[in-house]
Amino acid sequence: MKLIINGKEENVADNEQLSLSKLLTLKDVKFPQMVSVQLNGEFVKTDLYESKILKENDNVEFLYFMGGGR
Amino acid sequence: MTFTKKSALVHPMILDQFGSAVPPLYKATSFAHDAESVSDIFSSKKAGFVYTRIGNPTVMLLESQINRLEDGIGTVAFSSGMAAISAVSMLLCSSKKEILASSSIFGGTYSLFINILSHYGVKTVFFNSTDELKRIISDDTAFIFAETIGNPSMKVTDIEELASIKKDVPLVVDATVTPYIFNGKSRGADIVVYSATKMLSGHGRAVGGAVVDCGNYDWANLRYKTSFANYSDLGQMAFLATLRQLYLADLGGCMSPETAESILTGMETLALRVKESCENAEFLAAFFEEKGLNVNYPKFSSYRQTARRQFNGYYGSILTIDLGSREKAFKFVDSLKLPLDMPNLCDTRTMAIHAASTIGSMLSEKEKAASGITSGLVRISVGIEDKYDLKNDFSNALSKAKIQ
Repeated sequence: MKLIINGKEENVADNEQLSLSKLLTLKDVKFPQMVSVQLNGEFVKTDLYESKILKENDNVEFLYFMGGGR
Repeated sequence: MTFTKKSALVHPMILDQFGSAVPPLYKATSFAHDAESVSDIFSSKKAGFVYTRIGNPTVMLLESQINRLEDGIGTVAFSSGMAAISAVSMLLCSSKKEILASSSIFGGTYSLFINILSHYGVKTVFFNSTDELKRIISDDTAFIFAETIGNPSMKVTDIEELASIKKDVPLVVDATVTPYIFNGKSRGADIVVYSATKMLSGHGRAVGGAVVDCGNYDWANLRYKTSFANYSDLGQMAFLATLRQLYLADLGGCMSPETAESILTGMETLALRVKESCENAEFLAAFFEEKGLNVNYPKFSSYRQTARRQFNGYYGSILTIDLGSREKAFKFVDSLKLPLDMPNLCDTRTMAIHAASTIGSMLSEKEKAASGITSGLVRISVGIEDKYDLKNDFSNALSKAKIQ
């Protein structure tokens, strides 16, 4: 399935229904509490990661908030 | 498959290339990556650790464990409970705003609100009941603050009741003395704060704190837009991002990796310790009641029903007894063999302390009276020793102090 992840087009394995939660695992997001997720421009609440099923051409943005030192 | 919290506490989600069975201790202050990765991490395009003041793998593991315990959307660890409360207060407040706080809160928090935040134009108003809170809540309210069990007042705040009337004001709950038996998210709290030094750790070897965002509050509320600065566009994560990136990173109250590892060790036995401490406290409170002493423990007070509902059948591990005078209280405390006379709470060791001359010593006489701190009040934080050993020890001390 083709998805646009952080502005880049990517093909993601879709042998079964792909939830946002599963995408976080596939993309190796180790600490989901450190990321805010937008799906097609809308923020998704963390409680809905399991139930939110992705579809072809969905635009997913991972916005991390653990920046750098000084 | 979802596991119970009791199991989750024993099995942190360890990510380690060598398969370490226990949380690895990453002592590094900084983390190296290739140039593009560092750039991406700095610009928030990629997750990663770069500097321990902002994030560290061992500290993150502790944050993750506390977050699992609370069912939160994210947790940030701090160097102490007071650092955690200070950061939350400064984030949510601005000049001319008001904090509405439950009466008889912990002395350190009281001092933060009255002696420090007032200096920046923040006023704190204390409330004794939900009816009173209803009357004083306004557009100027920055947040509502309450403790699950007041210390040493033993006042149990009905968090669900507060949540039902708080309107669109965030409810910050200090659950330091009731982890595992109280779940802030399900009771309607927006933010839960902890001194991790106490029950979470339990072993008396680490000072730390934590802030959990329960995910109940809609941070899109415009009243906080300016507080969130560059992070206001992060939706549900705006509070956590601001807390970490500004109020942890720039105020600097970060937890050390060594402390995080130590608290993680304590948390493995949290479920067992909480249960044992609470059961021992119930047993001792009943013993003091039978002796005819003036005991203050939620099971035997007007807060019984609220406590039982809110703490899943438990009543906490702290109680107070009023021995009538400072002299009798001193003699009693000094006669104890097992309990230690020291200012901490919710340790494996039982502790007994004369309140007025120690934890309440910074309060005026009027404030002491309002907090229920009488001249003979002894606070007892009950540990996990054998309950009959404790009962015999307390009984001997009462005899030596000529109280019974």
